[in-house]
Amino acid sequence: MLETRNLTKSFGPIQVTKGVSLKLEKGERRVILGPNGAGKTTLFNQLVGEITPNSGTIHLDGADVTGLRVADRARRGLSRSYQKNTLFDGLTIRENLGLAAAVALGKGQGLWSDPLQSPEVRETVREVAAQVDLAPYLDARVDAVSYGIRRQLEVGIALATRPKVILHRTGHGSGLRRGRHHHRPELRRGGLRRVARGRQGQPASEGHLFGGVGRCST
Amino acid sequence: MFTHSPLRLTTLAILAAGSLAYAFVAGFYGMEILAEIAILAILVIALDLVAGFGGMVSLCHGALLGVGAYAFTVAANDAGLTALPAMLLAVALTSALSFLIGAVCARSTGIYFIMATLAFGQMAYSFVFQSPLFGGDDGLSGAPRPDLSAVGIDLTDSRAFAVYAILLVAFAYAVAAATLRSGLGRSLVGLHHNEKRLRALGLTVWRAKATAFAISGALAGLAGCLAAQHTQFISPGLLSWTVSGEALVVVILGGLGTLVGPLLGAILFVVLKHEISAITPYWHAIVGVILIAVVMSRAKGVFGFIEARWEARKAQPLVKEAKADA
Repeated sequence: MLETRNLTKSFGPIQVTKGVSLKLEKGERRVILGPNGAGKTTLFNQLVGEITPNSGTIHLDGADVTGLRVADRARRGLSRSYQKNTLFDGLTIRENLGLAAAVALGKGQGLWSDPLQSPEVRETVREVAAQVDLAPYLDARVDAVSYGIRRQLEVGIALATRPKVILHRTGHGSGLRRGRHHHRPELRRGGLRRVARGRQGQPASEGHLFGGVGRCST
Repeated sequence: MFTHSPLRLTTLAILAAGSLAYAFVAGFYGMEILAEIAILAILVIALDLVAGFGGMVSLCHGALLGVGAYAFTVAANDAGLTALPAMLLAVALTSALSFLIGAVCARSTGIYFIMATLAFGQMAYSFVFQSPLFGGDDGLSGAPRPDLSAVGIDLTDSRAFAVYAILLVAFAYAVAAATLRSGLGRSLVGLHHNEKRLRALGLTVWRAKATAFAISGALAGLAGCLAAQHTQFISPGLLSWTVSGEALVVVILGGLGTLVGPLLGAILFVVLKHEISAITPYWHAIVGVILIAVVMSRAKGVFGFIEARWEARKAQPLVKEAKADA
């Protein structure tokens, strides 16, 4: 689903990414681990398209996306979450999920109908809300709910695009230490497996890459 | 996200009924004021769409109004078009120019966006001011009013013109409200809250911003046509950045990002201007004090203030209920 070949990136004299080749197969879940300054974030940012590599290629679902910008990669099914919650504050949780689904369905520029009322978007919102345990909070404003709920929404927005590959940006306090997930609100109650598997055994997406899971934030 | 709450719908109904009723009882002076309010109202609807909802504070909307007014007058006087095609042409031209401005400015935000739009506005101002085509400092006269004699309406009559102006405001409001309820409008509000995330979700941000700016610009151009038809004389002063500044004051006074509020703001502003300037030439100072009071009250303008009180009143029983449970 996602593949890099010989990815390199330097900032001035400092080579941060040194010929990274990785491959994420359909249905796989992979984690990028490393200490502070290992270059996890730099790699992550190249994958999502926020910075361009000096050399090497990135393929998404067989197509070369190395030269594509963030939005173009997103439209091809690459979804991401953020380490620091990056939500639409001031809107409700329903509107947050609805906006994500609407944009992903290509309704973000339409003029003739309200995507938030469309059956497709409403269905996606309902499914994702169930997936990340947000159904009871749909009409709460994002800036009025707790950090844990905001964190679940962070993942929910990434899921609402119905992506092929999700790049989860985790951080702060070693989510996967000793194989336990109990610190991470979005992974509570088997959430990690549920997020990865989706509902009723259907995969939520075809590949997961949990980026930047380290002891410290980078 | 933009919604039509019962309070907003009620306010709209009162404003529509009130202004139409006034148009039938007012004297000549009152009807001139109505037309002036209508022109300002269309301009502030246009501005609130991008500034209040999209966070794109523009200082070129005065210039866009001016471009609309000049395009209309030139199209009618020199190109020999009748008023309605000339209006369509002027609105389309202003809209296209706005799309370009929006596309160029889309990359900048905050103060830089404001400055970029100001620069575009000043360019348009100096172009019109210096070009002999547009009469320069002397301005242009003779803009026609639409000929509706076919349906028995004479728009040279100031009462008919006031009603026509109010109908154009209603049309502009409907366009803005429909835009805000469309996919583009939803994205526009999302852009205001988190542009980075929306891009990562797959939105082509510059195009959304430019399209929103084009719709806003079309409305500003419509306000320009109405202004040209109202006074039947236009001067470069219409494109001055102070017109944009005044529109921004009205939007903030009425309620940024409420769409209904700016309508209220336009009425308040024009009425205050005429009432206070009858007493003292320093009316700007009084309006300034009122604006400071509104901003300091931390409410979203006059309408935001009413809306917050209304919401608080509704929310009260919930709090009591919670207390009873405890």
